[in-house]
Amino acid sequence: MSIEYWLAWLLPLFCGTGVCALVARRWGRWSDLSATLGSGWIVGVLAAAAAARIVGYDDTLHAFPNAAPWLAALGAAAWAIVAASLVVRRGRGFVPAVQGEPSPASRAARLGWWLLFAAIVLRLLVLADEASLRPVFPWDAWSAWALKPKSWMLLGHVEPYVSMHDWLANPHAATRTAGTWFYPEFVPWMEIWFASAAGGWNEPLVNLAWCGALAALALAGYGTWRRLGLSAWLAMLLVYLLVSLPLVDAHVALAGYADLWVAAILGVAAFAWTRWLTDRSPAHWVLAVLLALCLPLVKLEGLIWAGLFLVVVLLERLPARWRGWVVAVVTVSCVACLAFGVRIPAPGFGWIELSWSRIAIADVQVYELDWHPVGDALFASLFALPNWHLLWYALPLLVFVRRERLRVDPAARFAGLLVLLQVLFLAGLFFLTKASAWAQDYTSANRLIMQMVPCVFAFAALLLRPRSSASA
Amino acid sequence: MRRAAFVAALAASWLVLLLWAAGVDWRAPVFPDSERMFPGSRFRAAVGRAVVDGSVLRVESPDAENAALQVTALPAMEADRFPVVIYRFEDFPRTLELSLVFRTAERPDDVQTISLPWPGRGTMAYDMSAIEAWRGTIIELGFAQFPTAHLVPAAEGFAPFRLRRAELWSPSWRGAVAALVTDWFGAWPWSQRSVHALGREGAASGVRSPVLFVAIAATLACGWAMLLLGLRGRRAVMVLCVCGLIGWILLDLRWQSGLLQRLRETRVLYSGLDWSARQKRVADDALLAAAAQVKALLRDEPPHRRVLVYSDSGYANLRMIWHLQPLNVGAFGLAAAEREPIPEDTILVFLQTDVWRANPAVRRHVSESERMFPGDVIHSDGFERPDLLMFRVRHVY
Repeated sequence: MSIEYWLAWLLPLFCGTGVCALVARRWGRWSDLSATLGSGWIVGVLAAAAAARIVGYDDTLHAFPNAAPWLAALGAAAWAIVAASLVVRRGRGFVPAVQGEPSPASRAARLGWWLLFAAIVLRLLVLADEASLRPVFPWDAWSAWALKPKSWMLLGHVEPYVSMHDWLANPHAATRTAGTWFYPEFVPWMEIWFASAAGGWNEPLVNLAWCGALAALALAGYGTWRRLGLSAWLAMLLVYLLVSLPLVDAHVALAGYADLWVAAILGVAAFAWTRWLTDRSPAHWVLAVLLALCLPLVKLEGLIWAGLFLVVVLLERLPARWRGWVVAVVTVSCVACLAFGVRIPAPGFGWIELSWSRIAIADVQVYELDWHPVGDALFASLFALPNWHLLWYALPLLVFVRRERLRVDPAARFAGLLVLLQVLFLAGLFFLTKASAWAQDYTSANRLIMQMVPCVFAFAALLLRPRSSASA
Repeated sequence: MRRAAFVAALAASWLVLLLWAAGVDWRAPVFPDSERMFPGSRFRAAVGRAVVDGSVLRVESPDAENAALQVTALPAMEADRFPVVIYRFEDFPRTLELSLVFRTAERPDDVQTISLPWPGRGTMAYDMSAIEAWRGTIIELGFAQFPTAHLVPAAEGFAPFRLRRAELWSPSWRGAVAALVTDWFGAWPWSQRSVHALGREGAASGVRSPVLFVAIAATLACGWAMLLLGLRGRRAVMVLCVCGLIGWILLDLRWQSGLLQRLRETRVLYSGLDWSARQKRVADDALLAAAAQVKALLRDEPPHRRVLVYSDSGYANLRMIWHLQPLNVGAFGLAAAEREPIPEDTILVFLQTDVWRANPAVRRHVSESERMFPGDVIHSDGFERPDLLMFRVRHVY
């Protein structure tokens, strides 16, 4: 591996951690460091993909060397502001406490922490070994997500992907086509960032980024959950449970799908938002919203996840006395729209029609709403097949056991509302639309579920935090 | 006393649960009443080459299609009486997939195949009672091997191995538990389904899910703790949580073991190779070679030349598009569905198909076109079906 390839990993870390350190405004504890590193790498990779897109359009082979200075400058600027703010705060008598976390309660807890840490590291090494050996393998990875970056890397420049109609109509235009021409382009540009650093189209070196996404999610989760007040071993246990999920692991080992990136970005957004909910730090709120807004750049359903996330985020910001009214008005409006049918202008699409029997987007995408009995397949996916270990048994149990926390802790309530909306969306999608086929044939259903799993863990962490932290 | 009762009740209930998970027929004996053993030497190579070596069959090479099949005729055996298949291989390569093959007297022309996990070194068992085709009288039994689909290059999957024996057992608790062990701990390779749903690699056997087993086992522990130890509230929940956590870790160890098995197969294929060698080592190496041929034929074409690919197989179609990059390539099926005519000079590539002459709609596109490759066969009137066929679109105005 070349020095450029290592820099392709380190520069997003440098840039992203600078931004996240600005947000965190404190980094004296290991948990702050962990959260900043994890969130920072995800933020940095988003920035790297954007930089590669901006400066690498005409020369993809040199996207990395051309974009790297910009990313370095952004990181340097962020760190300079961090340093300046530190100096100012010191001038005001603030001394950052460089300290470890409060020690785990017992030797057993410490041993447990180290065992879990070792298990997580071992898992990531195994997955990285697998990803770093094989050419891109899963179907959509080569037919959809890696097709654009591979062609652009081999060409040395970008030729836009257009519909088959436009491609045929303009045979001399420098355009290309694929069935997935309209897919968002974060993943292709992220792949170009790593490929150009590797010196050319090199699938294993590109695919290792998926392992980075999982490691970053784990770091961000650990740091966030420690800051929420969870003990070190409990935070590490949650990280282990997240990293051990078989479907998540499969997406790292067989890298190439965009779902893990949706999960990671949504997860880091949810983690930042939980920091806002508990610490009332506005910068975390801004970071959460910005990350959520990036979701549609990753995958089309990212628009739905971003929408649901922002609904709850904005609802939480409303004064308490208004929330009930807003929820009531929105609910009644939705029911009325469905009952009587309504056609809403939608910029970019033309219009969206909502009615009791169907949802139509400009006659192009029509979802007939009808009951589809996919309960057996969903039950098998969630509770019997080895996709999720015991996650979906544990979640309702945890909610039941910690129901008192839901009552007294608004943060847990709002996180719960987010998860509830996500579950309702998926239930509606699978039971009421033709997307039921994805559940019936065990294809996309689990991948959609995987995208919301980090939010489930964020919710679980809020339920598990000790009473003292919750009341604080 | 209460603790002893708790331990006894828990052990008993978990044992019953395990037998339930194994799909044990409660009326069956603990050990099989009847066993039929077929040593490897009894089998013969129906596909590929094998030689008898003492009591085992040494499979030495596959056929030209890189597959191997060993079969033996059975004395007519009632499938219902012998639902458990026991088998043992030695030195079985990680790069091969294994299938059980059988025929029945009722449908002698219908060869049934059931995917089996990688046999490893131990004795494996498979419970066929839930397999719909395992009915009637079994007259032939065999094992087929072929390079792991989508993972292993066809010519590189095979290495010699030995078939030691196969057995058929009547229903028994022992057979059911042995089948459970194979089902829960058998090694399966990665497949295209692995990123969608895990655990659906083989045919549905009578064995129940380990996840379900662990969830029920944890619930039983909590239930007995409440009933016999009098635990209530927090303490009962704590028992449930601890059991659930242990169960999660056990499930994860099983998954981790599967990950390592898969990694070993990947290492066999790719370890020690640099990227330029690895990118050529793909399961569809024939398509890769065809793509290289197309690229060579089109090396003098202008860079924006449109290329359209057609194959009867969706997988081959998309893989060809992938391998043909950076040519400006699309799917012929999508182009043909458009109202827009296919532009003059567009290159049409047909892979392993006769659709270009058998389908009138497709034939319309090529009837006036110039045949580029192969050029030495009479155009469209013969019955030839070359693996690769290329046209340059010409329209008559």
